[in-house]
Amino acid sequence: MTKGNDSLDSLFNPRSVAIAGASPGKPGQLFLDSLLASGYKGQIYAINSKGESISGLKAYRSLGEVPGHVDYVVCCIPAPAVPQLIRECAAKGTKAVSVFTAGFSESGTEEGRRLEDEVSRAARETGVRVVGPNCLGVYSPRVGFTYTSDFPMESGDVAFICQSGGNSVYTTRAATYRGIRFSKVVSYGNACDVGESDLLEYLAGDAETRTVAIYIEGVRDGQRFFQVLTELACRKPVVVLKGGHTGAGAKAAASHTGSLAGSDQVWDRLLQQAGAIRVYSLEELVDVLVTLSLLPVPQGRRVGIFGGGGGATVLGTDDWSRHGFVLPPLPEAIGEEIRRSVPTEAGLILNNPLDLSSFAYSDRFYELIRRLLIYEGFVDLSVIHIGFGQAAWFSTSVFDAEINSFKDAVTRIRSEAGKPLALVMQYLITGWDWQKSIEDLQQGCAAAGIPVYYSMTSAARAIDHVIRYHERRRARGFD
Amino acid sequence: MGSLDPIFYPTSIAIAGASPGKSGQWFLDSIRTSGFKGPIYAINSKGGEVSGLLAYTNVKDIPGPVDYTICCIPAPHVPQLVRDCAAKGVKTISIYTSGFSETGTQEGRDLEREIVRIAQASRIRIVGPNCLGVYSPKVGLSFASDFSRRVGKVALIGQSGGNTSYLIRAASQRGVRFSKAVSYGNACDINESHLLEYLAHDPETEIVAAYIEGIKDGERFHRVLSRLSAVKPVLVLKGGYTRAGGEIAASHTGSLAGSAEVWDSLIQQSGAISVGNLEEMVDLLVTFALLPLPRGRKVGVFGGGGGASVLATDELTMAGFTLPRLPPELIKELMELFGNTAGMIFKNPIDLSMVGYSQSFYDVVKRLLSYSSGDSFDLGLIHAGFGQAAWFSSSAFEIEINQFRDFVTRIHRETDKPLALVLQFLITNWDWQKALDLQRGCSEAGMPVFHSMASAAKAIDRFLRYHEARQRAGKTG
Repeated sequence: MTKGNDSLDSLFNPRSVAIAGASPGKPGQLFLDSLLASGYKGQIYAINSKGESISGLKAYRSLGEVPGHVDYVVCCIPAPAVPQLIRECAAKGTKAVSVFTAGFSESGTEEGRRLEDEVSRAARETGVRVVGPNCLGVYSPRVGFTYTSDFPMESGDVAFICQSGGNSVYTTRAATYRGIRFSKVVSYGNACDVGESDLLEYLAGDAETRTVAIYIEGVRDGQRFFQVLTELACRKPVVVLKGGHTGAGAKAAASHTGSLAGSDQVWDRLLQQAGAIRVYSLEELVDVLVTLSLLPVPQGRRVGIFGGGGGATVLGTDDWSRHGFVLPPLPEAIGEEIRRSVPTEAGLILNNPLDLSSFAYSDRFYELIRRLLIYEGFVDLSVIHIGFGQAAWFSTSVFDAEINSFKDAVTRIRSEAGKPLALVMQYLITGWDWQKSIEDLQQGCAAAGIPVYYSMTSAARAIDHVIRYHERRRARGFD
Repeated sequence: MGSLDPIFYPTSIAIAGASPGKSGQWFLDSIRTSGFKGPIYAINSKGGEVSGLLAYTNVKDIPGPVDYTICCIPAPHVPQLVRDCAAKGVKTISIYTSGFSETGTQEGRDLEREIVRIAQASRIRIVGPNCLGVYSPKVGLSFASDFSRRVGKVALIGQSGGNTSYLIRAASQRGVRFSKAVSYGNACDINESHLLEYLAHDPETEIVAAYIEGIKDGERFHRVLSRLSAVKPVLVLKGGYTRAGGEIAASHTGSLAGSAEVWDSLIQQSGAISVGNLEEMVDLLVTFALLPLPRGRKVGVFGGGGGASVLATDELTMAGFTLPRLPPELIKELMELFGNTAGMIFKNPIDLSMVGYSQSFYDVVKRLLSYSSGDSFDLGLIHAGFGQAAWFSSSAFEIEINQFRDFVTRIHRETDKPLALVLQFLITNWDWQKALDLQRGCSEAGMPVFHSMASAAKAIDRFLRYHEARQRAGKTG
């Protein structure tokens, strides 16, 4: 049987899907309902041993009974029955199976390991590709294929392969909310057949993918992984979060996905040599994806900071300085003009950072930021900083309108000036009514393609990552 | 110098520059909604009415005594107001007005020197200028109307009004209450050292937090900070830590920031706790104010999905905690209760994602916390990750989350083990409101709540290290 990675196409473009173990109130039904709700265009079949209809679908007792062709099976049946299902898939002509069922090598038991060996043997012998076990499987928005109904059906150019199901859900949601769209996401669990290296090799050649994110707990074949990762990283930016990088975390990873984690120093060297960007938390992963996807690459480290109150500005300056950015003074002419036009108010800083708390979010705000943004030779990157919870007084009645005009100003600036521009929204999660307005602001900006961050530290860190990435590439002669 | 009591416990207040639609009116309205019991007077050179109060044209025209004045009039008129206040017998004037030394102009510096001279000649004390002044919930004095009216044990001094407001709000929301807070701006008269000295003897204050951009007298500050740190934990966030930040601090509050190295060694020598940013300050306040001191570093993590548990283990390990394995008989007990489902780990972290927020959750966590042996936990962390689950029913979630809050607060009430909630949630349109409700319920029950495993681990580690260092130095408590 050939096992070229062309066969991975079947993971991402199934024309018909069957859910094995689609019983009421069980994960099988949840998979089924997610698929029904997501607008998947292909055929959907339910299979359960009792043949009882589910979610308005007739259920078949076995895969063999399904009348039409089945491209892809989502497996939710008990572990001992899984190897047999793989062979039935082969008989049916099914090309790919993702196995949600747990109780394999991650259990640490002899029985679990034996079962997993059987599954991979069945896959090897039949050519059926198996994702998992112990995973959520595939999200491929282009064909409306998903494991959770709230992922968007709009495609993007970021691919994410993730060894943990929960982390794949969290990251996909968090990134989606910030304006990122995915080409494909795979939660691949124990990786008994389709492994991280297969997926990365496939993504290197995938025309729909421009950026790759990885959450990985352990690798099966270190040498191959290094080779594949290096080749991929030459062509596309790759961001890697290693779960289980401490000794104790590695043990947790072993019982989570049966992974051998390897030492942290080895990983650090490997990722660096391969040219990947290493991050340490899911939040940082999302921040870097936001940067890679939405921010034009700054050509230097000169940053202009507009907005924020006095104290927030002092701390913001510290944050950007710590990450190697410099804040050039405002162009003299513009600085003079601003100082003339602003009435004195407590703690106002009228340079760079430019404290715009007295400007409200009027047309003047828009005009000024726009001028500064396109001012030749001033900065390489502009950051608009809006802090909530800092003002002693505010009027709820005007707040909504102000936030709206602020959103309009920022999105207008973004659409008119092609310069690198980011928004930092630093906010308290409070019970105040105006939370809704803040949310609208964030959504409006993300939808307009503006990178939005939640703190100056996280923005500076993520943008620094990306600038260093390009510096390294230039040094290697790639760019 | 005399006690600073008058700045925190005024019995009558006047607002100078109380014009409709201006900052003066906002100060006035904030105090009136904060429960201040004494008389409140408005002063406006043009007379008239503001927020239903008749304004006096001069502080001296006010019939009764005035203890405390908030100044919102333009900078050039401030010296005369200080003189008038001194003549009236006002004890404290807190000056919101800016345009003093922070402008970097000769004129601004001269004005500031002048008001200091007047204050020194009379016995009036100045807070500011260029500041928001005092929050003292005990007497209902506040510069923002939304600050809590409940009194707590944390004192905060902040050189920036915005950062002070942010810290009060963020910490209040997580269950921290304040004895007093001061936004003290340019510190032309009352400065950080006076305030810290006062707080060392303040029986209402057990924990001190400071946001400082620059100090007036380094030697004195060092002495005062050391003395205060000997009796109470002091958390210090330095704004303008980097050189560029220091330059900005100069134009913010006229501060000379000093070098990072000097600052680091000063904080370290004095026994204070250095804090990196506002979020970390809030985490530390939550920890110091709400978490009983763990006896050691053995932590039990309850909840969280598989991948979240792997990352949580990394975070806790990096911060120096250990996650002891559960004893076999306990694992057996748990296995019998729950069986096995995808990704569950009957180790530590104990992945309870498939148990949901049911009675079983309560039973398991109670069992684990009360388990006593050489390897029992010193600290329990309940890990609730929203946004991780592939499937949920929002209607069921609504009920479940309330149940969960009840179970968590019940466990917290019933255990004497240090216990915190790590509530990791996505800020999305459907998540935050429920997460917030949960947080509020737990915070109100006095439970420490953190927003990520990393921040919890870091803050609790600092807490332990603070007490370890004190033990080594032979100080108890």
